[in-house]
Amino acid sequence: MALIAVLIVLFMFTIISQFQNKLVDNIRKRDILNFLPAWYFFAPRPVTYNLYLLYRDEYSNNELSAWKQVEFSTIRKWWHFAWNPKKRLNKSFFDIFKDLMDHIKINSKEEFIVTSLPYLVLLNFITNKEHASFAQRTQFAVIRKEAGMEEHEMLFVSFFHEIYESNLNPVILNA
Amino acid sequence: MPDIYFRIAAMFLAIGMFINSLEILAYKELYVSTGLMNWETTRMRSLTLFKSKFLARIMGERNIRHLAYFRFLCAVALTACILLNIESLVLPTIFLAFLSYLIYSVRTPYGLDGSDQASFLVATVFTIYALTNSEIVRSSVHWFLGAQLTLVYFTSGWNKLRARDWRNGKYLWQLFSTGFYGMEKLGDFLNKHRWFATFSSMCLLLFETFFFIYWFVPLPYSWMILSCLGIFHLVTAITMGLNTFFWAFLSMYPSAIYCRLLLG
Repeated sequence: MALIAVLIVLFMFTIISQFQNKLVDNIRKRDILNFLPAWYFFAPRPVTYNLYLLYRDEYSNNELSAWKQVEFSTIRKWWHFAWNPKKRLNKSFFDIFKDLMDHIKINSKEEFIVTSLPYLVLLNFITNKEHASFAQRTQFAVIRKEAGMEEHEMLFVSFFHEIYESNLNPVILNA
Repeated sequence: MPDIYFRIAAMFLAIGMFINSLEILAYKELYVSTGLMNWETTRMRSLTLFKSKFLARIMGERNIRHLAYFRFLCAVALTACILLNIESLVLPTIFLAFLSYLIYSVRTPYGLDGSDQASFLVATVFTIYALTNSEIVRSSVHWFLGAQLTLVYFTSGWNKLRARDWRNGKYLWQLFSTGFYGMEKLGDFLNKHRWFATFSSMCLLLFETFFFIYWFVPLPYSWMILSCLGIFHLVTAITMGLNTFFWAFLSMYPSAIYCRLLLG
């Protein structure tokens, strides 16, 4: 009977977790096991745009580099129906960006944004990309291009952050 | 001995785990400390996770390969148990599969999708199934998954049905026009033939939202509804690259079939 009770409670929780309100949001925040499923699947609004992650560096002479784009897997191959390891790169970027936007909606103060988890994950990812050896600081941005539209829209630009010496690439310096 | 429905579902789960573990091994960069799905940064979301030395040892960069091998071995062991009828090993292997999903779920909140959630849930309730020989509990697990499948489709369908741009097909062609989830040629085709986008979109919304009639219509129609949704998962695997969704959701189907047959 105890096991059946567990199943009933579990099912009730999966029903509750389908609602989109503050109570469910709070429950989800405490769900560090990520156990409660959300069965929305592209509803009510699916991803209707491409997101691009860019970064640029500030050099020791205060000049700025051109924006560089981080490559994501965006071309559908026939074998993706069976084998698609890079789908998680795209999904994680979307998740992180959505989380960042949610944080900004709550509080747009600098100290709140730069200490938020999604910001730190993106910053960690970007600072570990290749940078010229004379680069001192880096900055990232997210832009969006809506399907069927020509224009790109800048959604977020980060603050500048110091780059650790270990992430600087001497090959770029010589190039 | 577990019934045939459990065995078939466990095989689907194992195939999903097998693919999943190999995909992790093929793209480890995503999971290391500099990747978007790293543990070192994302553990800061909770003080408990941040402080735990035990978790740091398990989840850290050094163990990415080991965690993937662990999932791979779970898939192999589960397959062997089912195919060779080794009943005594069903509980340990399904529990290890559950543990494998638990570890990845705790590891990072980013990059996991509906297939991970579905597989995690199936592994959890199958552990309950394997814990006991009680027919009532085992049957309850099948009912749980049958009901869960109904919840999955209803939630997804109803939330889409409420959006006008899902009903008129606009969201469908826009989704297929994106680089991440789409397919360029199909996106262009749907854009040029909007009537087909509307028709396809409405078919999807109605099938998902009204999946619950599966439980009430005569059996041949029930099998037709289930087959259509199975084909839908196959189509999303091909067109959207959602390969593991197919196996994750298929692992709930045997339970839905079991329950439907009981209803007669």
